[in-house]
Amino acid sequence: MTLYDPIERNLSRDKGTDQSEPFVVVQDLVKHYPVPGFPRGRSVKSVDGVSFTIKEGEILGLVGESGCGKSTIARVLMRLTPATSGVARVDARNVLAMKGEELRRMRRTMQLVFQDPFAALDPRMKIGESMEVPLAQHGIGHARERRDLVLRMLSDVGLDASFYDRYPKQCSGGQLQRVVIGRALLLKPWFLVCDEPTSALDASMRTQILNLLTDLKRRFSLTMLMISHDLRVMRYMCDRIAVMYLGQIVEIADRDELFENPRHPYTRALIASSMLEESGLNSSAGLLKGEAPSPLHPPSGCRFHTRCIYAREACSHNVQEFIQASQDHHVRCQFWDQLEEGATAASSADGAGLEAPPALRPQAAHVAA
Amino acid sequence: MEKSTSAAKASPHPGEPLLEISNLRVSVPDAPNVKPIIDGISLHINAGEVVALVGESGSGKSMTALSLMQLLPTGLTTTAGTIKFDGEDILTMSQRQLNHLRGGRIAMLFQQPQAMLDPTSRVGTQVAEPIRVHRHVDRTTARARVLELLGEVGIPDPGARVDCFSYELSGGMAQRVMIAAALSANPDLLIADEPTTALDVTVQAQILKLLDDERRKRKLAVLLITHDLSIVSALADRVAVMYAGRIVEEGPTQQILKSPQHPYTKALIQCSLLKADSEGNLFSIPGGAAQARDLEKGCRFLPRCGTAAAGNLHEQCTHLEPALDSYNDCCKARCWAVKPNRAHSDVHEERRP
Repeated sequence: MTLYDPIERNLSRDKGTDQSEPFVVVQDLVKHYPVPGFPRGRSVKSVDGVSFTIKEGEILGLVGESGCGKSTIARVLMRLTPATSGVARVDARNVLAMKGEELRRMRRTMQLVFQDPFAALDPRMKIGESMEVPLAQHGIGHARERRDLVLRMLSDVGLDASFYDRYPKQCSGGQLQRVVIGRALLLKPWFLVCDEPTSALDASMRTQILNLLTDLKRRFSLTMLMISHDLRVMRYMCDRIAVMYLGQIVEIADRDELFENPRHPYTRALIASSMLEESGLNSSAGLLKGEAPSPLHPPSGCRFHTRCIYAREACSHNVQEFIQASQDHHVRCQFWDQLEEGATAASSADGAGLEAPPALRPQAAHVAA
Repeated sequence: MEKSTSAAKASPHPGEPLLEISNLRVSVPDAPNVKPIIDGISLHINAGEVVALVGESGSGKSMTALSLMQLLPTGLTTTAGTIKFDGEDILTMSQRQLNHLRGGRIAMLFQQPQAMLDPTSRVGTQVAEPIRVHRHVDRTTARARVLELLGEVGIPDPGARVDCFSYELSGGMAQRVMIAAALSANPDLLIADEPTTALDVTVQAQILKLLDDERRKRKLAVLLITHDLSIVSALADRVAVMYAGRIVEEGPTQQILKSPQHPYTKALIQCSLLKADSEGNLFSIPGGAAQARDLEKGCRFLPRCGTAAAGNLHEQCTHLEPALDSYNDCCKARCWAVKPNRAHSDVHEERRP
């Protein structure tokens, strides 16, 4: 068997690999972390049956609260941690089944940008050295060429050559985030996963980094998975958005469709909380009850029913399936078509108790449960 | 003056000034080449008012807050100015007097609640500490009060949570506990330093709502430090924008957010909107704020100023720093392009060499 060489990808694609399949296909991905001290298979169900696809050149956004499994998906896709079960195909190759040299070559084409740039760089290595490591690891060029490549990349990400000899502590967070993005792109990957690339940054730095990512995405024709909890960032960057809750995707749709017609109560709450200026403090705080439950004991039935203001009795025992609400819009809520319209717009919580019998109304609109 | 009696002293009524910072300067005395971290800021907070301090990281927001509590990191000292809290200057107080203030009349919320709670002591003990220290109540009364407070800040089942340790709490819960501890001694002023930055958006909305409810109920003055303008618009009555250790614009929140005058405030608002232009690019402020303090003369924002770059450069911009002049009767801005109320301002500040 000949090894898959990603560099020969275009060639191999022409030779007849299935081009109708999206670039990234994830099916029923499961990642359970066993809990030490519980011998009988107790585990944290970090990712529990996640499926999505990303077309070539598309940016898929993954949003959700901390602990919902977003970053675990990134780590599993990058093979930084093994999956419990499931399939993840990138460029029609099952990434989860690769090993040895094949995996090493595949890594060249898939890169990850971490959330905290300070933690992602070795404080004792100069920035130039840190950036050269992946090139050396994959045997690209000799020392001189590598240095040139790094310098060129530094200017591509908007930094001058003096950064080559600096240490991470001499740079600001925004500058380091540029370095980390540059390092990920040095190997010319096709698939870039960004795990909260801007959440450690100020508003002014955030727009600079987002502009940089948009620009680089175009120039390097990247396919991207963006992970964030900030829907405002998502709305700007992504083509499609998947909303995660406790290890499952609860809604997935095109960006505009998701913001105009959010179907899942959790999506509505997320949108309202992210758009504080538009929705006001009162309505956004009232769309969710309590705190996220532990993924160690996910609630029965619909996982969201403990926090859902629309929850009915049936929700606590009916396991929710993924339902197609409209074309390319899927939602994991059996009552999606019976929720009040426009709950995100304003004051749905305030009007509870009056009006509209057929629509589901919030059962308890207060946070302080 | 014996401060334990001052706790019983009537606090200022809403609308009366509670805190007045004037000309505060914080510098590094051991490093004469380092420019002051905070360079002459003046700000007042009335009783019951929420004032937000916004700006990029490194602009001096947090250092302003810490100097109010006299908790500046080693190496930094306040070298000029006064901080009058309810008529008394904090900067001249003894440690003993300060200890009465800290946690008693001024409370503080931090960015990372879990890091600020003591992992070795139970939640109840920590919430009770300000009451025990400042209000001199016995354990049983304190515990009853703690249970009441934990309920008020929205912690389900306070009876069970009161004996938890901080690591058993989620981030949102820990911040609720911090709020309970901060409010326990009935302070007059709450300093909230990025209280929701480390939290999820959904939890953030809940915590902000809680803060808003509590401050209205208790007529509490709040100094809110944040870099997120949406939080400012949701909570604050007045806003002061900081850049490189100075206040560059100040005024009522609605006024400032709707019609900002200083180019930096305009730019910050543009950034936070995340709206793309026709070419699909987001507006961003070029460069960083790192060297702004080292400018020898002229406006500190000049190297990044869009107004100046567009050719509307005022003659003075390059060689004289503008003063914080009032405009529109209610706002102040530090910019040559903003028309002040009067031709001559009574505050004249120029850059010292």
